Amino acid sequence: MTSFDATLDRPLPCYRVIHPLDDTPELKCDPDRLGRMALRPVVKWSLLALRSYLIVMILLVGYRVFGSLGVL
Amino acid sequence: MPPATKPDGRTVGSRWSHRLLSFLVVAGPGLIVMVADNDAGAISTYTQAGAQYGTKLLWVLLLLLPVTYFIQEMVARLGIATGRGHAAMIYRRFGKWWGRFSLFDLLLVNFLTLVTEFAAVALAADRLGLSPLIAVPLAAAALVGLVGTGSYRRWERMTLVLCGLDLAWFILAAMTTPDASTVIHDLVVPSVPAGGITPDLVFLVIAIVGTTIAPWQLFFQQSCVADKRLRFSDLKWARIDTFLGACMVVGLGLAMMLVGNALHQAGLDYTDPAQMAEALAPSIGHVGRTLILLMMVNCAILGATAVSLSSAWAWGEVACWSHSLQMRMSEAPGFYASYAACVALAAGLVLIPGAPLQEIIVSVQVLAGIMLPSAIIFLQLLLNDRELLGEAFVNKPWNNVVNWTVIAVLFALSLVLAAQVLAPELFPATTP
Repeated sequence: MTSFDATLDRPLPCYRVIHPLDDTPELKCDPDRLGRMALRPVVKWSLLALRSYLIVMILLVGYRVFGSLGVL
Repeated sequence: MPPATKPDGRTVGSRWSHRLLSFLVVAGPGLIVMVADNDAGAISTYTQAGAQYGTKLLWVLLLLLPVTYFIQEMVARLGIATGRGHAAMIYRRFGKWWGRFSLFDLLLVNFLTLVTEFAAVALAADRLGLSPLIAVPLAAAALVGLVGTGSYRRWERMTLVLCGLDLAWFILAAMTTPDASTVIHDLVVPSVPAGGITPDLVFLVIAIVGTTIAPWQLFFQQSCVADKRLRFSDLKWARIDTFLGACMVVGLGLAMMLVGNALHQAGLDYTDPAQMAEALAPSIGHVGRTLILLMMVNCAILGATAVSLSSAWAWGEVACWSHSLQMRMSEAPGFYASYAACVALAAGLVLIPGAPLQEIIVSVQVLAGIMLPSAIIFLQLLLNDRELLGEAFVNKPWNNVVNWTVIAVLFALSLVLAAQVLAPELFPATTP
Protein backbone atom coordinates (compact mmCIF):
# COMPACT_ATOMS: atom_id res chain seq x y z
CA MET A 1 0.00 0.00 0.00
CA THR A 2 2.82 2.30 0.85
CA SER A 3 4.53 1.59 -2.44
CA PHE A 4 1.23 2.25 -4.33
CA ASP A 5 0.92 5.66 -2.65
CA ALA A 6 4.53 6.41 -3.49
CA THR A 7 3.82 5.69 -7.18
CA LEU A 8 0.86 8.05 -7.11
CA ASP A 9 2.84 10.80 -5.46
CA ARG A 10 5.82 10.58 -7.86
CA PRO A 11 5.58 13.44 -10.38
CA LEU A 12 4.96 12.14 -13.90
CA PRO A 13 7.63 13.09 -16.43
CA CYS A 14 6.63 15.98 -18.61
CA TYR A 15 8.32 17.31 -21.71
CA ARG A 16 7.78 20.68 -23.26
CA VAL A 17 7.84 21.30 -27.01
CA ILE A 18 8.03 24.87 -28.25
CA HIS A 19 7.57 25.80 -31.87
CA PRO A 20 10.72 27.54 -33.17
CA LEU A 21 8.69 30.63 -34.08
CA ASP A 22 7.43 30.92 -30.48
CA ASP A 23 10.81 30.36 -28.88
CA THR A 24 13.32 32.92 -27.70
CA PRO A 25 15.73 33.77 -30.55
CA GLU A 26 19.19 32.20 -30.24
CA LEU A 27 22.51 33.93 -30.67
CA LYS A 28 23.67 32.59 -34.04
CA CYS A 29 27.06 32.50 -35.75
CA ASP A 30 27.20 36.06 -37.04
CA PRO A 31 28.96 36.70 -40.38
CA ASP A 32 28.70 40.50 -39.94
CA ARG A 33 31.28 40.60 -37.15
CA LEU A 34 33.79 38.75 -39.37
CA GLY A 35 33.52 40.60 -42.65
CA ARG A 36 34.76 38.94 -45.85
CA MET A 37 36.35 35.51 -45.87
CA ALA A 38 40.10 35.53 -46.46
CA LEU A 39 40.61 33.71 -49.76
CA ARG A 40 43.96 32.34 -50.84
CA PRO A 41 44.99 33.47 -54.36
CA VAL A 42 44.45 29.95 -55.71
CA VAL A 43 40.85 29.94 -54.43
CA LYS A 44 40.23 33.43 -55.79
CA TRP A 45 41.53 32.48 -59.25
CA SER A 46 39.57 29.24 -59.17
CA LEU A 47 36.39 31.17 -58.49
CA LEU A 48 37.16 33.53 -61.36
CA ALA A 49 37.77 30.56 -63.65
CA LEU A 50 34.48 29.14 -62.47
CA ARG A 51 32.68 32.36 -63.34
CA SER A 52 34.18 32.34 -66.87
CA TYR A 53 33.26 28.68 -67.26
CA LEU A 54 29.67 29.41 -66.25
CA ILE A 55 29.34 32.23 -68.76
CA VAL A 56 30.67 29.98 -71.55
CA MET A 57 28.33 27.15 -70.55
CA ILE A 58 25.28 29.42 -70.45
CA LEU A 59 26.14 30.58 -73.97
CA LEU A 60 26.55 26.95 -75.11
CA VAL A 61 23.14 25.97 -73.78
CA GLY A 62 21.65 28.99 -75.51
CA TYR A 63 23.41 27.94 -78.73
CA ARG A 64 21.99 24.44 -78.50
CA VAL A 65 18.46 25.59 -77.70
CA PHE A 66 18.38 28.17 -80.48
CA GLY A 67 19.98 25.64 -82.81
CA SER A 68 17.29 23.05 -82.10
CA LEU A 69 14.62 25.69 -82.69
CA GLY A 70 16.15 26.46 -86.09
CA VAL A 71 16.99 30.05 -85.15
CA LEU A 72 20.76 29.53 -85.75
CA MET B 1 -1.73 12.91 -17.88
CA PRO B 2 -3.34 14.45 -20.97
CA PRO B 3 -1.27 16.91 -22.99
CA ALA B 4 -1.73 20.46 -21.80
CA THR B 5 -1.31 23.53 -23.94
CA LYS B 6 0.69 26.42 -22.59
CA PRO B 7 1.06 29.80 -24.22
CA ASP B 8 4.71 29.12 -24.96
CA GLY B 9 4.51 25.54 -26.06
CA ARG B 10 2.90 22.16 -25.51
CA THR B 11 3.61 19.75 -22.68
CA VAL B 12 3.52 16.02 -23.31
CA GLY B 13 3.89 13.12 -20.93
CA SER B 14 6.10 10.67 -22.76
CA ARG B 15 9.51 10.75 -24.33
CA TRP B 16 8.17 9.34 -27.60
CA SER B 17 5.43 11.97 -27.85
CA HIS B 18 8.09 14.58 -27.17
CA ARG B 19 10.29 13.27 -29.96
CA LEU B 20 7.43 13.00 -32.40
CA LEU B 21 6.11 16.47 -31.63
CA SER B 22 9.62 17.95 -31.74
CA PHE B 23 10.04 16.47 -35.22
CA LEU B 24 6.63 17.66 -36.36
CA VAL B 25 7.23 21.28 -35.35
CA VAL B 26 10.60 21.29 -37.11
CA ALA B 27 9.58 19.33 -40.24
CA GLY B 28 8.63 21.31 -43.30
CA PRO B 29 11.55 23.00 -45.06
CA GLY B 30 13.21 19.71 -46.03
CA LEU B 31 10.03 18.04 -47.22
CA ILE B 32 8.77 21.09 -49.08
CA VAL B 33 12.05 21.79 -50.88
CA MET B 34 12.30 18.20 -52.06
CA VAL B 35 8.69 17.63 -53.10
CA ALA B 36 8.54 21.05 -54.76
CA ASP B 37 11.62 20.01 -56.70
CA ASN B 38 9.41 17.53 -58.55
CA ASP B 39 7.89 20.43 -60.42
CA ALA B 40 6.62 20.80 -63.97
CA GLY B 41 10.12 20.50 -65.41
CA ALA B 42 10.75 17.39 -63.38
CA ILE B 43 7.54 15.76 -64.62
CA SER B 44 8.60 16.55 -68.14
CA THR B 45 12.16 15.28 -67.72
CA TYR B 46 11.29 12.11 -65.80
CA THR B 47 8.36 11.12 -68.01
CA GLN B 48 10.44 11.83 -71.13
CA ALA B 49 13.21 9.63 -69.72
CA GLY B 50 10.65 6.87 -69.11
CA ALA B 51 9.04 7.29 -72.51
CA GLN B 52 12.38 7.20 -74.37
CA TYR B 53 14.37 4.69 -72.34
CA GLY B 54 11.76 2.77 -70.32
CA THR B 55 13.07 1.82 -66.88
CA LYS B 56 16.72 1.88 -67.96
CA LEU B 57 17.54 5.18 -66.22
CA LEU B 58 15.94 4.38 -62.84
CA TRP B 59 19.37 3.72 -61.32
CA VAL B 60 20.32 7.36 -61.92
CA LEU B 61 17.58 8.38 -59.51
CA LEU B 62 18.77 5.96 -56.83
CA LEU B 63 22.31 7.38 -57.14
CA LEU B 64 20.91 10.87 -56.66
CA LEU B 65 19.27 10.01 -53.30
CA PRO B 66 22.40 10.33 -51.13
CA VAL B 67 23.69 13.22 -53.22
CA THR B 68 20.47 15.17 -52.70
CA TYR B 69 20.47 14.45 -48.97
CA PHE B 70 24.13 15.40 -48.39
CA ILE B 71 23.80 18.69 -50.25
CA GLN B 72 20.55 19.75 -48.61
CA GLU B 73 21.73 18.67 -45.15
CA MET B 74 24.63 21.12 -45.50
CA VAL B 75 22.21 23.89 -46.37
CA ALA B 76 19.98 23.10 -43.38
CA ARG B 77 23.05 23.03 -41.11
CA LEU B 78 24.30 26.37 -42.41
CA GLY B 79 20.84 27.92 -42.03
CA ILE B 80 20.49 26.69 -38.45
CA ALA B 81 24.01 27.79 -37.51
CA THR B 82 23.75 31.30 -38.94
CA GLY B 83 20.02 32.07 -39.08
CA ARG B 84 20.70 33.61 -42.51
CA GLY B 85 19.80 32.69 -46.06
CA HIS B 86 22.30 31.40 -48.62
CA ALA B 87 22.42 34.61 -50.65
CA ALA B 88 23.10 36.63 -47.50
CA MET B 89 25.96 34.31 -46.57
CA ILE B 90 27.62 34.58 -50.00
CA TYR B 91 27.17 38.35 -49.91
CA ARG B 92 28.63 38.71 -46.41
CA ARG B 93 31.52 36.24 -46.68
CA PHE B 94 32.56 36.61 -50.34
CA GLY B 95 31.64 40.24 -50.94
CA LYS B 96 29.20 42.13 -53.16
CA TRP B 97 30.76 41.05 -56.47
CA TRP B 98 30.24 37.33 -55.87
CA GLY B 99 26.96 38.00 -54.11
CA ARG B 100 25.55 39.79 -57.14
CA PHE B 101 26.80 37.13 -59.57
CA SER B 102 25.22 34.38 -57.51
CA LEU B 103 22.00 36.33 -57.25
CA PHE B 104 21.97 36.95 -61.02
CA ASP B 105 22.49 33.23 -61.75
CA LEU B 106 19.74 32.32 -59.32
CA LEU B 107 17.25 34.85 -60.63
CA LEU B 108 17.94 33.89 -64.26
CA VAL B 109 17.41 30.15 -63.77
CA ASN B 110 14.53 30.74 -61.36
CA PHE B 111 12.69 32.99 -63.79
CA LEU B 112 13.06 30.48 -66.64
CA THR B 113 11.97 27.72 -64.27
CA LEU B 114 8.93 29.75 -63.29
CA VAL B 115 8.04 30.11 -66.97
CA THR B 116 8.07 26.33 -67.27
CA GLU B 117 5.75 26.02 -64.25
CA PHE B 118 3.16 28.26 -65.86
CA ALA B 119 3.68 26.54 -69.18
CA ALA B 120 2.67 23.29 -67.50
CA VAL B 121 -0.39 24.93 -65.96
CA ALA B 122 -1.39 26.24 -69.41
CA LEU B 123 -0.83 22.84 -71.07
CA ALA B 124 -2.76 20.92 -68.43
CA ALA B 125 -5.60 23.44 -68.21
CA ASP B 126 -6.02 23.38 -71.98
CA ARG B 127 -6.42 19.58 -71.94
CA LEU B 128 -8.81 19.85 -69.01
CA GLY B 129 -11.02 22.14 -71.06
CA LEU B 130 -10.09 25.35 -69.22
CA SER B 131 -8.69 28.24 -71.21
CA PRO B 132 -5.04 29.06 -70.30
CA LEU B 133 -6.11 32.72 -70.40
CA ILE B 134 -8.18 31.98 -67.29
CA ALA B 135 -6.10 29.20 -65.68
CA VAL B 136 -2.71 30.94 -65.75
CA PRO B 137 -3.82 34.24 -64.13
CA LEU B 138 -5.86 32.18 -61.64
CA ALA B 139 -2.77 30.15 -60.73
CA ALA B 140 -0.70 33.34 -60.42
CA ALA B 141 -3.30 34.87 -58.08
CA ALA B 142 -3.42 31.66 -56.01
CA LEU B 143 0.37 31.74 -55.70
CA VAL B 144 0.35 35.28 -54.38
CA GLY B 145 -2.51 34.44 -52.02
CA LEU B 146 -0.61 31.39 -50.72
CA VAL B 147 2.28 33.45 -49.36
CA GLY B 148 0.43 36.64 -48.51
CA THR B 149 -1.23 35.48 -45.29
CA GLY B 150 1.42 36.99 -43.03
CA SER B 151 1.98 33.65 -41.31
CA TYR B 152 4.84 31.26 -41.99
CA ARG B 153 2.91 28.44 -40.34
CA ARG B 154 -0.15 28.94 -42.52
CA TRP B 155 1.98 28.94 -45.68
CA GLU B 156 3.85 25.82 -44.52
CA ARG B 157 0.66 23.90 -43.72
CA MET B 158 -0.98 24.75 -47.04
CA THR B 159 2.19 23.84 -48.91
CA LEU B 160 2.52 20.53 -47.05
CA VAL B 161 -1.05 19.67 -48.10
CA LEU B 162 -0.04 20.29 -51.73
CA CYS B 163 3.01 18.07 -51.13
CA GLY B 164 0.70 15.33 -49.84
CA LEU B 165 -1.38 15.51 -53.02
CA ASP B 166 1.76 14.61 -54.97
CA LEU B 167 1.50 11.08 -53.55
CA ALA B 168 -1.06 10.48 -56.30
CA TRP B 169 1.94 9.84 -58.59
CA PHE B 170 2.39 6.50 -56.83
CA ILE B 171 -1.22 5.60 -57.65
CA LEU B 172 -0.63 6.60 -61.26
CA ALA B 173 2.52 4.50 -61.45
CA ALA B 174 0.61 1.52 -60.03
CA MET B 175 -2.14 2.05 -62.64
CA THR B 176 0.42 1.56 -65.43
CA THR B 177 1.16 -1.93 -63.98
CA PRO B 178 4.93 -2.00 -64.51
CA ASP B 179 6.83 -5.27 -64.21
CA ALA B 180 8.11 -5.22 -60.61
CA SER B 181 11.16 -7.42 -61.23
CA THR B 182 12.31 -5.26 -64.15
CA VAL B 183 11.81 -2.10 -62.10
CA ILE B 184 13.85 -3.45 -59.17
CA HIS B 185 16.56 -4.73 -61.50
CA ASP B 186 16.90 -1.44 -63.39
CA LEU B 187 16.80 0.50 -60.14
CA VAL B 188 19.78 -1.26 -58.60
CA VAL B 189 21.76 -2.41 -61.65
CA PRO B 190 23.18 0.49 -63.70
CA SER B 191 22.91 -0.07 -67.43
CA VAL B 192 23.07 1.93 -70.64
CA PRO B 193 19.84 1.94 -72.70
CA ALA B 194 19.71 0.28 -76.10
CA GLY B 195 21.31 2.60 -78.63
CA GLY B 196 24.34 3.35 -76.49
CA ILE B 197 25.60 6.68 -75.22
CA THR B 198 24.11 9.22 -77.57
CA PRO B 199 24.03 13.05 -77.27
CA ASP B 200 20.33 12.86 -76.45
CA LEU B 201 20.97 10.38 -73.64
CA VAL B 202 23.72 12.54 -72.13
CA PHE B 203 21.52 15.62 -72.45
CA LEU B 204 18.68 13.81 -70.67
CA VAL B 205 20.91 12.43 -67.89
CA ILE B 206 22.24 15.95 -67.21
CA ALA B 207 18.65 17.18 -67.23
CA ILE B 208 17.70 14.48 -64.67
CA VAL B 209 20.58 15.55 -62.42
CA GLY B 210 19.67 19.20 -62.96
CA THR B 211 16.05 18.66 -62.05
CA THR B 212 16.72 16.47 -59.01
CA ILE B 213 19.27 18.83 -57.45
CA ALA B 214 18.57 22.39 -58.54
CA PRO B 215 20.44 25.54 -57.42
CA TRP B 216 17.26 27.18 -56.11
CA GLN B 217 16.92 24.38 -53.58
CA LEU B 218 20.08 25.50 -51.78
CA PHE B 219 18.79 29.04 -51.47
CA PHE B 220 15.23 28.00 -50.66
CA GLN B 221 15.91 25.58 -47.84
CA GLN B 222 18.44 27.79 -46.09
CA SER B 223 16.14 30.82 -46.24
CA CYS B 224 13.19 28.68 -45.15
CA VAL B 225 15.16 27.32 -42.17
CA ALA B 226 16.16 30.88 -41.27
CA ASP B 227 12.61 32.19 -41.65
CA LYS B 228 11.30 29.37 -39.45
CA ARG B 229 14.02 30.29 -36.92
CA LEU B 230 15.13 26.70 -36.37
CA ARG B 231 17.35 26.32 -33.32
CA PHE B 232 20.68 24.53 -32.85
CA SER B 233 18.83 21.71 -31.06
CA ASP B 234 16.55 21.26 -34.09
CA LEU B 235 19.38 20.09 -36.34
CA LYS B 236 18.75 16.36 -35.82
CA TRP B 237 15.05 16.79 -36.70
CA ALA B 238 15.93 18.97 -39.68
CA ARG B 239 18.21 16.17 -40.89
CA ILE B 240 15.37 13.63 -40.66
CA ASP B 241 13.07 16.09 -42.42
CA THR B 242 15.65 16.46 -45.20
CA PHE B 243 16.20 12.71 -45.48
CA LEU B 244 12.45 12.01 -45.74
CA GLY B 245 12.26 14.73 -48.37
CA ALA B 246 15.14 13.15 -50.32
CA CYS B 247 13.32 9.80 -50.26
CA MET B 248 10.16 11.55 -51.46
CA VAL B 249 11.87 13.35 -54.34
CA VAL B 250 13.47 10.14 -55.58
CA GLY B 251 10.33 8.06 -55.00
CA LEU B 252 8.15 10.52 -56.88
CA GLY B 253 10.71 10.78 -59.68
CA LEU B 254 10.66 7.02 -59.94
CA ALA B 255 6.85 7.01 -60.12
CA MET B 256 6.91 9.66 -62.88
CA MET B 257 9.47 7.67 -64.85
CA LEU B 258 7.25 4.60 -64.58
CA VAL B 259 4.27 6.55 -65.91
CA GLY B 260 6.45 7.60 -68.88
CA ASN B 261 7.55 3.97 -69.22
CA ALA B 262 3.94 3.02 -70.02
CA LEU B 263 4.25 5.10 -73.17
CA HIS B 264 7.54 3.36 -74.01
CA GLN B 265 5.96 -0.07 -73.59
CA ALA B 266 3.03 0.87 -75.79
CA GLY B 267 5.42 2.16 -78.46
CA LEU B 268 3.81 5.60 -78.45
CA ASP B 269 5.55 8.92 -79.15
CA TYR B 270 6.20 11.50 -76.45
CA THR B 271 5.76 15.23 -76.88
CA ASP B 272 4.97 16.59 -73.42
CA PRO B 273 3.29 15.35 -70.19
CA ALA B 274 -0.17 16.59 -71.26
CA GLN B 275 0.07 14.71 -74.55
CA MET B 276 1.26 11.69 -72.54
CA ALA B 277 -1.89 11.87 -70.41
CA GLU B 278 -4.04 11.75 -73.55
CA ALA B 279 -1.98 8.93 -75.07
CA LEU B 280 -2.27 6.83 -71.92
CA ALA B 281 -6.02 7.37 -71.53
CA PRO B 282 -6.94 4.08 -73.28
CA SER B 283 -4.81 2.10 -70.80
CA ILE B 284 -5.26 4.02 -67.52
CA GLY B 285 -8.74 5.39 -68.17
CA HIS B 286 -10.28 8.84 -67.99
CA VAL B 287 -9.59 9.06 -64.25
CA GLY B 288 -5.88 8.38 -64.79
CA ARG B 289 -5.70 10.92 -67.60
CA THR B 290 -7.38 13.61 -65.49
CA LEU B 291 -5.20 12.76 -62.51
CA ILE B 292 -2.01 13.24 -64.55
CA LEU B 293 -3.24 16.64 -65.72
CA LEU B 294 -4.24 17.70 -62.19
CA MET B 295 -0.88 16.53 -60.86
CA MET B 296 0.83 18.64 -63.51
CA VAL B 297 -0.98 21.68 -62.11
CA ASN B 298 -0.25 20.71 -58.49
CA CYS B 299 3.45 20.14 -59.14
CA ALA B 300 3.68 23.40 -61.08
CA ILE B 301 2.03 25.37 -58.25
CA LEU B 302 4.33 23.78 -55.67
CA GLY B 303 7.40 24.40 -57.78
CA ALA B 304 6.32 27.97 -58.55
CA THR B 305 5.83 28.94 -54.91
CA ALA B 306 9.18 27.46 -53.87
CA VAL B 307 11.13 28.92 -56.80
CA SER B 308 9.54 32.38 -56.44
CA LEU B 309 10.15 32.35 -52.70
CA SER B 310 13.80 31.43 -53.15
CA SER B 311 14.15 34.44 -55.49
CA ALA B 312 12.28 36.80 -53.17
CA TRP B 313 14.15 35.63 -50.06
CA ALA B 314 17.53 35.93 -51.82
CA TRP B 315 16.72 39.36 -53.20
CA GLY B 316 15.49 40.52 -49.82
CA GLU B 317 18.64 39.22 -48.10
CA VAL B 318 20.97 40.95 -50.55
CA ALA B 319 18.96 44.19 -50.68
CA CYS B 320 18.60 44.13 -46.86
CA TRP B 321 14.80 44.33 -47.13
CA SER B 322 12.50 42.81 -44.54
CA HIS B 323 11.95 39.31 -45.92
CA SER B 324 9.82 36.97 -43.86
CA LEU B 325 6.60 35.07 -44.40
CA GLN B 326 5.79 36.00 -40.81
CA MET B 327 5.40 39.61 -41.90
CA ARG B 328 2.35 41.15 -43.48
CA MET B 329 2.58 42.60 -46.97
CA SER B 330 2.71 46.12 -45.57
CA GLU B 331 5.67 45.15 -43.33
CA ALA B 332 7.78 43.57 -46.10
CA PRO B 333 6.66 45.29 -49.32
CA GLY B 334 9.89 44.65 -51.28
CA PHE B 335 9.86 40.94 -50.46
CA TYR B 336 6.24 40.41 -51.47
CA ALA B 337 6.51 42.74 -54.48
CA SER B 338 9.51 40.83 -55.88
CA TYR B 339 7.64 37.53 -55.37
CA ALA B 340 4.53 38.88 -57.10
CA ALA B 341 6.59 40.44 -59.92
CA CYS B 342 8.37 37.14 -60.66
CA VAL B 343 5.04 35.31 -60.72
CA ALA B 344 3.27 37.92 -62.86
CA LEU B 345 6.10 38.25 -65.43
CA ALA B 346 6.46 34.49 -65.90
CA ALA B 347 2.70 34.01 -66.16
CA GLY B 348 2.48 36.79 -68.73
CA LEU B 349 5.30 35.32 -70.82
CA VAL B 350 3.57 31.93 -71.04
CA LEU B 351 0.45 33.50 -72.48
CA ILE B 352 2.43 34.70 -75.51
CA PRO B 353 1.39 32.27 -78.27
CA GLY B 354 3.89 29.98 -80.04
CA ALA B 355 6.48 29.68 -77.26
CA PRO B 356 8.53 26.43 -77.63
CA LEU B 357 7.68 25.18 -74.17
CA GLN B 358 9.12 21.65 -74.23
CA GLU B 359 12.53 22.94 -75.39
CA ILE B 360 12.50 25.56 -72.65
CA ILE B 361 11.58 22.97 -70.00
CA VAL B 362 14.42 20.55 -70.80
CA SER B 363 16.95 23.35 -71.34
CA VAL B 364 16.19 24.89 -67.97
CA GLN B 365 17.02 21.60 -66.29
CA VAL B 366 20.31 21.45 -68.21
CA LEU B 367 21.13 25.04 -67.27
CA ALA B 368 20.40 24.21 -63.64
CA GLY B 369 22.67 21.16 -63.88
CA ILE B 370 25.49 23.35 -65.23
CA MET B 371 25.10 26.02 -62.56
CA LEU B 372 24.83 23.58 -59.68
CA PRO B 373 28.56 22.79 -59.27
CA SER B 374 29.43 26.46 -58.81
CA ALA B 375 26.59 26.92 -56.31
CA ILE B 376 27.83 23.88 -54.36
CA ILE B 377 31.40 25.21 -54.37
CA PHE B 378 30.25 28.31 -52.46
CA LEU B 379 28.34 26.05 -50.10
CA GLN B 380 31.41 23.90 -49.65
CA LEU B 381 33.60 26.92 -48.86
CA LEU B 382 31.03 28.26 -46.39
CA LEU B 383 30.71 24.91 -44.63
CA ASN B 384 34.49 24.83 -44.15
CA ASP B 385 34.50 28.29 -42.62
CA ARG B 386 35.78 27.44 -39.13
CA GLU B 387 36.13 31.11 -38.24
CA LEU B 388 32.37 31.53 -38.65
CA LEU B 389 30.89 28.16 -37.75
CA GLY B 390 33.35 26.73 -35.27
CA GLU B 391 33.83 22.98 -34.88
CA ALA B 392 30.16 22.26 -34.12
CA PHE B 393 28.74 23.02 -37.57
CA VAL B 394 31.73 22.85 -39.88
CA ASN B 395 31.99 19.99 -42.42
CA LYS B 396 33.57 16.75 -41.29
CA PRO B 397 36.36 15.35 -43.51
CA TRP B 398 34.01 12.71 -44.97
CA ASN B 399 31.51 15.48 -45.84
CA ASN B 400 34.22 17.15 -47.87
CA VAL B 401 35.19 13.95 -49.67
CA VAL B 402 31.55 13.33 -50.65
CA ASN B 403 31.01 16.93 -51.74
CA TRP B 404 34.14 17.24 -53.83
CA THR B 405 33.23 13.94 -55.50
CA VAL B 406 29.75 15.28 -56.28
CA ILE B 407 31.21 18.54 -57.60
CA ALA B 408 33.71 16.62 -59.78
CA VAL B 409 30.96 14.41 -61.25
CA LEU B 410 28.71 17.40 -61.94
CA PHE B 411 31.57 19.24 -63.61
CA ALA B 412 32.37 16.18 -65.72
CA LEU B 413 28.74 15.97 -66.84
CA SER B 414 28.65 19.63 -67.78
CA LEU B 415 31.94 19.27 -69.68
CA VAL B 416 30.46 16.33 -71.59
CA LEU B 417 27.54 18.57 -72.47
CA ALA B 418 29.93 21.24 -73.71
CA ALA B 419 31.83 18.67 -75.79
CA GLN B 420 28.71 17.29 -77.40
CA VAL B 421 27.50 20.77 -78.32
CA LEU B 422 30.88 21.77 -79.76
CA ALA B 423 31.83 18.45 -81.31
CA PRO B 424 28.80 16.17 -81.71
CA GLU B 425 30.85 13.81 -83.95
CA LEU B 426 32.60 12.63 -80.75
CA PHE B 427 29.32 11.00 -79.67
CA PRO B 428 28.31 8.56 -82.40
CA ALA B 429 25.40 6.28 -81.59
CA THR B 430 26.65 2.80 -80.76
CA THR B 431 24.78 -0.43 -81.05
CA PRO B 432 24.12 -2.30 -77.78
